Amino acid sequence: MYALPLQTGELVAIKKIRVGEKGEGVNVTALREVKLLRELHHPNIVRLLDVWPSRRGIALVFEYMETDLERVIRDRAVLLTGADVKAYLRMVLAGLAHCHARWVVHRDVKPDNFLLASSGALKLADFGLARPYGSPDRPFTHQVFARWYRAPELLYGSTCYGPGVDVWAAGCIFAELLLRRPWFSAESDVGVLNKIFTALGTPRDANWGGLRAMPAFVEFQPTPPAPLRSLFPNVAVAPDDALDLLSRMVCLAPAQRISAADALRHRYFRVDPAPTPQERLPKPGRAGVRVAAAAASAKRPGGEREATPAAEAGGPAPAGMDSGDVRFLKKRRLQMDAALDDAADA
Amino acid sequence: MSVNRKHGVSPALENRMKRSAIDLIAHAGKALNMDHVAMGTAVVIFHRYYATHSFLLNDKFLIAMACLYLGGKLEDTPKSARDVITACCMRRYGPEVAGLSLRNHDFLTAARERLFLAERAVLYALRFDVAIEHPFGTMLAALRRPALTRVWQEWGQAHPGSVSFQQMCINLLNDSYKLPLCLMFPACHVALACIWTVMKVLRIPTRLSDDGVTPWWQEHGMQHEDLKEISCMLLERLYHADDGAGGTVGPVSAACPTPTPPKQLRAVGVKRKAGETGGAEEYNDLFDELLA
Ligand SMILES: Nc1ncnc2c1ncn2[C@@H]1O[C@H](COP(=O)(O)OP(=O)(O)O)[C@@H](O)[C@H]1O
Ligand SMILES: [Mg+2]
Repeated sequence: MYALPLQTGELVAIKKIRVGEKGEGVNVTALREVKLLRELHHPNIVRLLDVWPSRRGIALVFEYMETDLERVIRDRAVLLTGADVKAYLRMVLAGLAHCHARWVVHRDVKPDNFLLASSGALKLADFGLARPYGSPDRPFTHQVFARWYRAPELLYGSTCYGPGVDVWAAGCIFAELLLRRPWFSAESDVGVLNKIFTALGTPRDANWGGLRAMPAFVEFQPTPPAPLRSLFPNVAVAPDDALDLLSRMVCLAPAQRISAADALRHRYFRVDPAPTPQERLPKPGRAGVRVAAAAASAKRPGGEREATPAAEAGGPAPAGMDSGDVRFLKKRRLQMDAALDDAADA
Repeated sequence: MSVNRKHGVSPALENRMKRSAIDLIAHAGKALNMDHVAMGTAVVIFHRYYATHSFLLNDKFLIAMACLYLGGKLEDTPKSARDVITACCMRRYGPEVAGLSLRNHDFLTAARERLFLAERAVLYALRFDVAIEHPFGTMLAALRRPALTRVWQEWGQAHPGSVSFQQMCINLLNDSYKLPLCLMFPACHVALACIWTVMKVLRIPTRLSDDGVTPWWQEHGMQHEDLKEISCMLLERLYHADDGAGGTVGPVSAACPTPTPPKQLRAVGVKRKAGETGGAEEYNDLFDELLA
């Protein structure tokens, strides 16, 4: 039987997915997300509580998450210490390691897909692009990840990649936590590659077998790597151990890149300072949330979310959702309604 | 009492209905080039659906089609609604009739609508519990264990030219999909029980062990009771045709080992060689690659 959160008064987030937009019945992306999340249970992976039918589609019911990592990084009022960064990175890696241990690559790792619970726990969400891997006969598309978080093998058009692509993106998040801005931001794939190679040096054939055979290989002016220390001068938040781990996570050749599980065993996590306990992690202020929400007006097709205090949802009946029992408060990015904000406004 | 009993559908009739629908899934799936995981998922969700729904009120052809469509989507080999409808109609009505209908635009539109409705009905019935486990991996891993490797090697040497031990296991595993075992037991237990059953039928001692202590089948929390229970169901329901469930027992062929094999063995071993069982056999072929 399903334990509906409704009786508990727990807050839930609902992602509505319309059926039949492309004339192919229930959205494959949504099905994939449901299927994978049913199998993945981990404190650093968002919990799918239930799926409800709704009149025009299906509704995915998630535990409610207060904010996301992107807002933490962007909020200038939030001060991140070395211990805070370590705590966030550890949660990022723990979520990914769990996926990889179950042969799932997420393929859309970026700060706004890591959601932050009120408990301070950081959880990986948005499994719409995630796929099981390990069957070499099934080629993958390289059109995954937001551009800035794409690993070099993807930018070079690889169709047979593994969990290393997630680790690369996690490395980019690590750097972003240190820099407080995206590391490899550029307008085009070549622009991103250029930034990557400027920072890390151009890849050499000796280190990366099959480099030249990549479908979209472009030759760059050979450059030596810059010392990471020159890019991350703040020793307090980025001690040597941090930079050593970072360099392994953003190793250009996928075969030599560290795995998420090994990264968690890196010295960085064992030496002082210890990661901040999650309940003491700094959170973006409510003002910060609102600004971010208002600023991000981009809409994406396919997903529509609302959050509602479960107690108000009018019971488990799917009809309740469509009949306007769920109160809409405030449009957030991707049509996300924050019931918390709503309550505050009311 | 189950819905189907309430509606006067006898166990035998229910079984026959399931057989023909699963047969359709296997054939249409093959025509669509779907892999064994996608088809296996389709069959499992079909069983799950009819565990709570009446055969009298739910068109088994339509539901089977929806399960196949969903199986493709869930296992990352999606086929278009049009292709699924075409393959299913071809199998059911034959190329001539199906060809005529499929050229009719209204027919296709209506069929798609019904397919989408059925797809959602199946998902709701499953409560979106769509992560389906399959037994193939467990079986292959078990067959690679030292104790069992010895078994099939010795069997092969003693019966040259006969169906291999592994093939019999896989045949039985494929046939097991026709029973709603997936509703009652974890997939890994079904896999182990299939191997155990084949050993029993071939009179191979089953008390084998890699380390001399733990029986080979004692993994994934498998209990001896469950082993026997699954095994009995497999043999009774699959190969005793009396209740309408059977039907794969064919004429004995030269493939059968001497002397006087038990009836069940013929069922398990004879199929590929003699090729007399039509539909069921083709379904088995899909899993041949597992042995490669
Ligand atoms: N469980 C949740 N609680 C609160 N907000 C969420 C939750 N899940 C997603 N969101 C918000 O909705 C946005 C989009 O959700 P996501 O799952 O990433 O869908 P999409 O595939 O459209 O990107 C997220 O960036 C986040 O702001
Ligand atoms: Mg997202």
